[in-house]
Amino acid sequence: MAASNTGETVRVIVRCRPMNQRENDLQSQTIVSMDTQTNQVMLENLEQTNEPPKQFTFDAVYPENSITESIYTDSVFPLVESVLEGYNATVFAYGQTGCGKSYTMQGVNTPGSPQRGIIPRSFEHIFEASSVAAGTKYLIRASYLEIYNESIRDLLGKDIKAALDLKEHTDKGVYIQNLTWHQCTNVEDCERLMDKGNKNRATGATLMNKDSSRSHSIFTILTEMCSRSEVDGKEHIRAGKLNLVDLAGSERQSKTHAEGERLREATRINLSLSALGNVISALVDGRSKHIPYRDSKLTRLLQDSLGGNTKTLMVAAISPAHDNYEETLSTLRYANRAKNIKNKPHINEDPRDAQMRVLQEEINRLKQELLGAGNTNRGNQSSLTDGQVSLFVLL
Amino acid sequence: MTFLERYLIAVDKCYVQSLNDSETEPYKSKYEARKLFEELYDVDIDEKSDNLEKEFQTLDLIEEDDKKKFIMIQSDQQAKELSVSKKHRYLIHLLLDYHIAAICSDTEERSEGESRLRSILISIEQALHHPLLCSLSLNLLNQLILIRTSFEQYNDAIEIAKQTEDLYNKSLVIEPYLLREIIHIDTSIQADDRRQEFEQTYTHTLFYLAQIYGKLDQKNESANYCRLTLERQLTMFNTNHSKHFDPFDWATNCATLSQYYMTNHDFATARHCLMCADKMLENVPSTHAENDKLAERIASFKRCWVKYAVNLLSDSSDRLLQAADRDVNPNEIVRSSTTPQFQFKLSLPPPTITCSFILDYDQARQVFLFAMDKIDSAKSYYILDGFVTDHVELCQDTSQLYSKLVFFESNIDRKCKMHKRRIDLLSTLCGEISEEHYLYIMRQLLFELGECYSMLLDLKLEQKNDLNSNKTIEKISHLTKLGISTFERFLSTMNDKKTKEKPETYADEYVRPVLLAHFYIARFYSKFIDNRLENLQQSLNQYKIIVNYVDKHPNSREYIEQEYSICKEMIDLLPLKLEKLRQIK
Repeated sequence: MAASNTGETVRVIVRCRPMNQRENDLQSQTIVSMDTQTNQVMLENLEQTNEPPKQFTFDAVYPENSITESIYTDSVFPLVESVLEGYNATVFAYGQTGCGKSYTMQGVNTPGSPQRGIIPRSFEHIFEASSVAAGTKYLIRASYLEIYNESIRDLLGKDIKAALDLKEHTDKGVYIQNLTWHQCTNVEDCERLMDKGNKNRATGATLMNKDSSRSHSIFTILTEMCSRSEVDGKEHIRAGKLNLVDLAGSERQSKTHAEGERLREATRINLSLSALGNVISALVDGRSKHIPYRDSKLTRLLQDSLGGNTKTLMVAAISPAHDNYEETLSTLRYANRAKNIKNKPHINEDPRDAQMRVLQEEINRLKQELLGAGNTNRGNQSSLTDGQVSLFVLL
Repeated sequence: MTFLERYLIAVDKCYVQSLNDSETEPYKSKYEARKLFEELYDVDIDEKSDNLEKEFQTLDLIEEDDKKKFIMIQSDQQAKELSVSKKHRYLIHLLLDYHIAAICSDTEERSEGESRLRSILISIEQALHHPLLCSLSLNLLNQLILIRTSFEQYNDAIEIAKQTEDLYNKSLVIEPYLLREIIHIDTSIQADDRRQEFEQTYTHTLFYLAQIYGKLDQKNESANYCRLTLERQLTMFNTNHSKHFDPFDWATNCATLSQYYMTNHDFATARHCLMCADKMLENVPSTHAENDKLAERIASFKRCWVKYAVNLLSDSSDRLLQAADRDVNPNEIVRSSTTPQFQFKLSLPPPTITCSFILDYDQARQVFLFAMDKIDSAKSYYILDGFVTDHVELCQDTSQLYSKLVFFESNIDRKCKMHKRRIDLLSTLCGEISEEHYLYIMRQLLFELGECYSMLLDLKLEQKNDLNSNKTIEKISHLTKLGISTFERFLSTMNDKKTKEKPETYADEYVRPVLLAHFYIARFYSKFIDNRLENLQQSLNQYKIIVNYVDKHPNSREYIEQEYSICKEMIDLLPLKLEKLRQIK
């Protein structure tokens, strides 16, 4: 289960939480089984007993008795290390409400607890590194934003209702205009900011009458490290970003009319005409085209996390209980699709037919030249060349 | 509270309030609504209205196979059931049944919902298009379509949709009552408004069909239903029901549809769609809040036009090449059509660009100028600082336009100038954006830039045969060096960021570009006029790199089959050539 990826694809892991009190009281049955050797998840459908269990394979799977510490060691540690080396890394957390996302991401907030979540562990990892690094100055800042219906809001800003613009700078890449960054000197600072942002997320949801589970949130830690190089004596600054993305859960099979919803499941029909654009875009296939919709803000914001040498991890959280079958299936399908998310690089090539013909002519000329030379300079030829010449004649 | 009032409360709970149900209790309102509908079963209603009596004169209720069924009463027949209130009560029961069935389907009891719906259908299928039953029928059939689709039974769903089409056509000569009017006919409603709701429901049917055909990967059918949906929405705009019509969305969807037809080589239809999109955007109110959205969308449609131009030129040159190869008239490859497959009811200005395939330089130049105008205009919105990706793509389009134009130009000098323009454009961009943040774009730009150098070099070599001056030789050497360094930079973008080492294995989608880069470098080296020996050795090394990679990764061979065989030949031939050169020395 060693963590490694080429950097161009997303590493996807699935974690199943244990049964909770309510499920135990109801004597719920377990329908999830995992094989940690083959990294497979099997999902049974109790209603359709003649159906074989659905099977999914991932980069790693963590069953009910797993501890967050091992997940961190296997999958998250290398990501945070790369951030400390000046690269970007992204952790996506996905799962339905009540299915263990918070359990894995936040977990039991006691230092040293094996079930302490990925997020507090990452904070600790970063601040530990900054406290022991001699000769390197660290400036650590955090930001927290939310994307809802393709609108970006600053969860730590003065006006949490204001929509912010996504821009691209030639040197610095994609950024959010007017997003506030807040300095952190220790783990508690980070946790306080996250709490504040979470509260604002909930408040904002009530104010704007929206479902906060429908929004994505991104908590970013920017680590700037300034050190004096031994080689040239100059100060060098490296900056690494760790993005912690909390992905919106997929909708249940209900008649919502939210704008900008994308068709999520293969079998789902979108009931709202606002999705007509998506249906049409899905038909457009081919090289040179322009779809007059913006790319999803989330994709654009993280586009330099989906390639190059950056590391990306998706953690999908599921529940083992049978009455969560639909949600679990939906999560596994989503995670499965995530395995294939990568920027599809498109290197267009000019048509080559004419060029190939020219090349073939060149080769023929070369052959002729050598063939001709072979004939007139027979006396000077080595036997090897003789043999080669006759081979060409055969060709 | 009247029966109708209680019914409307239940409907509101079911369809409106349910939208606000929390994640943890997503069906709360639906379950409550179901209770309300069930309670209404036992409530007596005694509706006495002339309208109702009149309508029931043509609708009879009989018993068949142990089931109560509605049938149409023919003019010469006698009604079996004479009590209007009996018929009315049964119809109301069916209406309540319908809502409960829909709730079942919405709350994950799809099979239960479906069997209830089918039971209702049996009771009404012999009189589907009666004014009192029409809306109920349409809504019911829509529900069945959704359920069948959710079980991935797409062909079943399509069959049901055929019934809705038939129903809709029959409904055109009558006035279908609203669902709630099954309870009480509302004399205050205008005929137009009443019709509106029915039309909206049918528009949804077509929209569902568009999605179903999409899932079946029958793109033409799907596109057709998308188009029909747009057409019906446009009718709303043209009549007095524009409050539900959003010109901004409509225009955007129409522009997107144009791209479908464009990639299907149907330029007449694509052009029509784009012109309609442009026209509709004029109807978007430009309020202060919406200004930026509108400005962006206008610029975005210009990009659709640019792609139109690029594709038209590209398809045109392909067509001419194929015709030349097969020694036939281009019309035998594919005919130009100037008639779109359909026409939206919008009055349009005369087109400013052709939709026929291009045959010569003059026509190509017209298309080129049209597209450059759109690009310049779009760039004033998509400025580099702020919109790097969009701006770069517009520059890439410019480069593509020049490259397509070159095909139609016969004069070598002018061809060279066009490639030079591309080189200037692309190399400037490469210097302006961060490789780290725009890695994918950078790779595209470098590769295309390298190809430009290669093409320009080939043209210069042709010229050299005619001119043979020292200047030309200098130019050739210069271009060759630039070509090599460009492709080398391209290759270096694939290296490990930390160790700067070349990867052992390249991802599938990069194998061909990477090996081609080596191939180009090999060719460049062979074009040097001085230091033939050293340069040819370099060339040989590049061919060896390619062959070694493919031999180590046999799966990659399919990506570079043709070039691979050339490489192998070169590996055999070049050592001999080198030997010859050494002997001359």
